[in-house]
Amino acid sequence: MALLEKLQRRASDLGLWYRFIQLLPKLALFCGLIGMAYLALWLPSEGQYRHTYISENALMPSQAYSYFRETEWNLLRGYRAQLELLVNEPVDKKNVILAGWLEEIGLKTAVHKDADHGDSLYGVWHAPRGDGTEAMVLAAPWHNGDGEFNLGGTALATALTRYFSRWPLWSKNIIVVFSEDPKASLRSWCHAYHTSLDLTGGSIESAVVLDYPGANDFFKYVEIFYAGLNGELPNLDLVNVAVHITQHEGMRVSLNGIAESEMEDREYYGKMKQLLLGVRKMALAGVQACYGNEAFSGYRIQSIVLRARGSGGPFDITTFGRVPEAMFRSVNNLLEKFHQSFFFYLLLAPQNFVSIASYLPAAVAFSAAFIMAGLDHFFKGSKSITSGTARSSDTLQTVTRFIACLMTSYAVSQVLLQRNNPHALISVSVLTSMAPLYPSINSNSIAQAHQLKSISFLYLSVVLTSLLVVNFALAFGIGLLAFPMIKIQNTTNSRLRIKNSLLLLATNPFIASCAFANIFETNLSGFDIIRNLVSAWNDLGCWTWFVVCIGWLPVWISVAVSSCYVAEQAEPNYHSSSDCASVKKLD
Amino acid sequence: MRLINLLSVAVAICSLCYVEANSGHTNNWAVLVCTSRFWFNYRHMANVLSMYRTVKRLGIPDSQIILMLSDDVACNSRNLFPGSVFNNADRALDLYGESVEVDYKGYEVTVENFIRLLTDRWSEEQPKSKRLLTDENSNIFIYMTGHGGADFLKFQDAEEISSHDIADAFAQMHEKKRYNEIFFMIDTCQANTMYSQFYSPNVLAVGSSRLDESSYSHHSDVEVGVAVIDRFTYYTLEFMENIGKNSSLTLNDLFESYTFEKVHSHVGVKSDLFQRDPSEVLVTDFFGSLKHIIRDDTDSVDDFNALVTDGEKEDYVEHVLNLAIEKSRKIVLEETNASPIGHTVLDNPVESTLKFNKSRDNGWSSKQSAMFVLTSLVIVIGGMQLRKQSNLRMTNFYDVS
Repeated sequence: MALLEKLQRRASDLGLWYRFIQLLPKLALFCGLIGMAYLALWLPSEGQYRHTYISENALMPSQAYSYFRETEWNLLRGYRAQLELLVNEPVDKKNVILAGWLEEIGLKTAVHKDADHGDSLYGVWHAPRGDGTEAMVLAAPWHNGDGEFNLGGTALATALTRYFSRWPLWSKNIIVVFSEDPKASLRSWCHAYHTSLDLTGGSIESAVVLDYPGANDFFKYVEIFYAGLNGELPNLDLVNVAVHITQHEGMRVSLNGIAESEMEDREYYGKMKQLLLGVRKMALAGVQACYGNEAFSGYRIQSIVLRARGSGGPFDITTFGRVPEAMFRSVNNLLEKFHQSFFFYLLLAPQNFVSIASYLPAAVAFSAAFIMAGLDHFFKGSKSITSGTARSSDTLQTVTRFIACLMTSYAVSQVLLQRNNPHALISVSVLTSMAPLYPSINSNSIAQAHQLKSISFLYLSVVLTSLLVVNFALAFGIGLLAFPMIKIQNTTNSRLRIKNSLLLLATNPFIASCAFANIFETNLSGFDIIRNLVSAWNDLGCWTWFVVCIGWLPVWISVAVSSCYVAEQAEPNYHSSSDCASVKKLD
Repeated sequence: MRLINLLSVAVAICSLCYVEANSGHTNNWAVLVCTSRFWFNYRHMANVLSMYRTVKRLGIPDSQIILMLSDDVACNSRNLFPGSVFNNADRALDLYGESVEVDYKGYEVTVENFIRLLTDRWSEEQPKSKRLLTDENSNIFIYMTGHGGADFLKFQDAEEISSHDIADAFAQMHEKKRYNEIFFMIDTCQANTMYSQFYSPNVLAVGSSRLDESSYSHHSDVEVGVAVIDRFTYYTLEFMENIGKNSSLTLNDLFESYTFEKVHSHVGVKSDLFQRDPSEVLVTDFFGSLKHIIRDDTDSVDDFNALVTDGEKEDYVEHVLNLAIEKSRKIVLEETNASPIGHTVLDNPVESTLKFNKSRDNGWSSKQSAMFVLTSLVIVIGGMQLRKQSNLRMTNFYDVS
């Protein structure tokens, strides 16, 4: 302890503490830049990522030979030809005919009725030699995430079900689901399965969603989607198994829908691009086009989407069918739930990943940046109080103001849920951003301005810190987009006031996310992202909307409010000796 | 007579020498242990069942094989061939097809049970069929397979046995004179560490891989979808298939058949505790069941003549007479109660009737049982009187001599 005391005394003699406080704004900026560079530049470099491996011994992907081949060709084409006739029929009729086929195979079938999102037909194949406590799901929505009719996918699911029923080796039940769409309808079925449905087949271990639009026999490559809602990912083992099997069958794999021209790029920039795309997919899961795996989030079900892309390629539809076949054989071998491999990871290539320990510092850096910005304002505010220009009751007033901002944000989130009107929201946001242009001069309020900012930044830091493990991508995204807020100053200078206003405009949760979506996401143009955020909560239970509204928005509002206040004179000078003394008293 | 005595002594010494030349054991036992569970460890079950088949083929009877099988892959729902276990992708030989007597199965395969088995520390309820009833003339072959590491072998994914545990168990076996020689074989990762702690005499050990070395599987069956056998066991079996009951191949031949190219790991042998040179130890000393019966080479006619010439005829006549009396007594009994129960009643009548009643309680009416008790009482009394008479006669005879 003596040593510590000595060090502390020495530090205060040298004025290190004081210098640290002085450096806080710069340190905050530095932290944010570090966070960004760490994720985007450092992680894709050689030696920072690892090669994927199958962690669970039981899985043994592709150890058994896959027989979904020529013998199944005609069956598959037969089902497809019959389904093609039903494309324009109502879903009820499709379900009745398909249920007939499934019952012929030996499945028990039922229809989950949902007037809002569409009915889902499902069938349960009870494993003859299994214990019937666990199940694997094969899902094929009638329409895929892009709205195309999933002809190949539904035909394949039917043919596969028939094929599976002829194998005697299942230890888990097989459930096949045909829902209206891969989003709300499938989600509604999944929710009903765990709450109200009578026909069930045990706890679901894994779900594979098949997406093969069109009647083409041949395709080029396979896309795999895995990002679930609210930061959930399937166990890395399942993704590895899917990638392993697909490549074992000779097909190329594209993750998260990266373009065919870029998916083979294994260089530094290729990896960086895949990594950032993965983060974006995770942050916007449920908000973007859903392909079906999102529907199973929240029930401890490991789910992925297999999507056939391109037509006229070298692989036929039975080759595609062998991927779910081998995956089912693999999952069937499991004796426990998926638990061996990572649940938090980022993929840089189909066979390269970084685990949570490696990527967390990126979001932690943003969290630290906001802590430092908060501390900076705290010290500035305290100094204003001690210098005698402010009353102590102002603190209470500041806290009340922040709570008011929180309440307002919550109200905004609720209002939007009722009346989804992004235009009004954006207009109000833009107007609020003009606040710094009309400053209210008040000698006491400069301390309050600092206090309010201090509270908001510390609050945002707490939000990001608690979010960064659960939903890293969202925490990182909010941290990145809200980061410029720390540069907003209290000033009388009109040029700086315009700068403040622009910064506020850029860091507004709604404007920033709209701008981001319009730049990076081609299918989220205009104000779609606001609409989708709200509908993702209503239809899927994705809480990104509330994180944005209750985590980010109140901070932005209070910063906007605080930036209206300006001091009568210039900012008190930190370098005077009295300030030094006051700061020393503090520690 | 003296000559004959001398001759018989010589014969006895000769037969003793003969036994000595064959490692001095009179019986063979095998303890075969698979320690790992789960479907994906199919190959460990196949390993141990292959060894079971081999020792059985070479003559060790089921009563002298303790088979510990920690999981039942044959009946696993994932098995494409229900009820069968194969050790080769050609599936020519179903290891589970013939009668397989598993002594310890599933969760009975524990470290505790294994140590108890070796040291024979059981409570009285333990059936004899599940005990290792060896003595100082027993040669024991112990085979273990599963997942291991440096100085440990996992049991059931739940516990481990350490190399010290096995070494100490062997020491206790030695103190209790429970073996003549032990041949310890283990197929697991870092297997050679498992015999490193042995310190008891007459133990020969072989392991599949060195410290920090893995033992690998040999090949997979694409239909079953799992690896079906480990390399070390595969090549051991390959060697064993050429061994017959009369084979003259030695354990050294077996050890020399292992090469790194085949096994993909360094097979280790520990022979410093073993008194004999492995090149002089027949494989069948451990894998076969050699029945060294000390034959009674003397002829009964010679015996009779010898007795007669020695003037001890009366004793012999007396013996023959006793036999005749006993036989006649049996005939009388069978006549009085022409049921097989009569025989059992003779020794300990009351108890056995009670037992009989108990075991057949459900099927017997009270009337029948009453009749039975009555008849058996008659038999008891009759029998006792007969015994009295014969005893009297016997005493008479003895008095005479």
